[in-house]
Amino acid sequence: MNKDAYRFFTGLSQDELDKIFTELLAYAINLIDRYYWRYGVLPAGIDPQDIVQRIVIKTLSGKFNWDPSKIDLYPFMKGRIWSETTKLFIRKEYKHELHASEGEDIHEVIDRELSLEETVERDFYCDPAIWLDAIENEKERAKVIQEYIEDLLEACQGKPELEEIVYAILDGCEEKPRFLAEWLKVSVDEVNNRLKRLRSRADRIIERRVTS
Amino acid sequence: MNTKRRNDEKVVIAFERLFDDSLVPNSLEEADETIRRAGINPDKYRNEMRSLAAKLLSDSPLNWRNQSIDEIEATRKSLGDIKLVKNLAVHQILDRIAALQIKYPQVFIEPVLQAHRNLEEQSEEDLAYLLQEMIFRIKQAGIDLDEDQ
Repeated sequence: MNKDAYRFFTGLSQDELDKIFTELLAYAINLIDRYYWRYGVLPAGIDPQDIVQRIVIKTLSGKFNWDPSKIDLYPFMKGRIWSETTKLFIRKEYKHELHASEGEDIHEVIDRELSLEETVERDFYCDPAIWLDAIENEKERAKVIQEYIEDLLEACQGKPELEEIVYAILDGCEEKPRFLAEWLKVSVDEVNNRLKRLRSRADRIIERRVTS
Repeated sequence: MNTKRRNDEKVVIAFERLFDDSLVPNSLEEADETIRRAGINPDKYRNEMRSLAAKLLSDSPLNWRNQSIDEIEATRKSLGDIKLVKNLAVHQILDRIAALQIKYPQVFIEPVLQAHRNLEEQSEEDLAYLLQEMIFRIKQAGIDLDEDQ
């Protein structure tokens, strides 16, 4: 049991707990939705609620070594959701499907498989952009990057407010909503809304390309 | 304006980070809407998660009820050291329990504490013990209680 996580959870009000659990589930749903077209489906029997529950259990049990001096619990748990979800996707796509034998729980299989991987690739899945490193072939990597930029430019075409975001980043603005807000002289909420729209449009372009 | 343009790879990395942050809902209402769209009932989900958290905290070896005899003895002594509840009338104890329940509902999630649900039917001694236990649990969680609690 992680003593810090125990103290943190015990000290929360019900409303605060509800908020954390609800936001984590919405994040997991959006994440799965976003990665679906890039990586395919999750292993059978796994849904976003399972993923959030597994993260909560592992955080409280101490299986995840949360250090409150380095990161707050919410971003830590969000990062673990990202890590576990993308691992599930990536394993399915690039390695093999996970199967439970008769009488075996699919969650036990996943735990076993992921923890095996964790020992050698622990640091691999901690950054949303680090999937690029998995593409070892230089030509393929260049092609993926080029397609990504083309998708971004297509996504903002005819939408000056979205173009502004893309060009701010191209011009070197730091990739945080607050810096974008300063750069564009708009509110952080406005930047967040534009980013959601841009992501949604770019994801639809990826979806169309993958399925065509 | 900074004229140093990023290379394409750095742009991809920057947008992946920005897009990941944009997956976090801006409000509870937006989160609920996302959850409903996925075919999940947010209230049912929250109830399930409350039960899960209650069970995990209740079964935790850090919970004093699950500690060794020596640790329980030390806990009893600590409970006895809490003088706050002595010399209080029943209505004052009930008021304090209600105030703690609102401010720190987690202290109520343990099944053992749920046994005290019908507070009006509890004896003065039981109520005092319950309040003592709640104060102890909050302090054990590292929370400083307000003076008036």
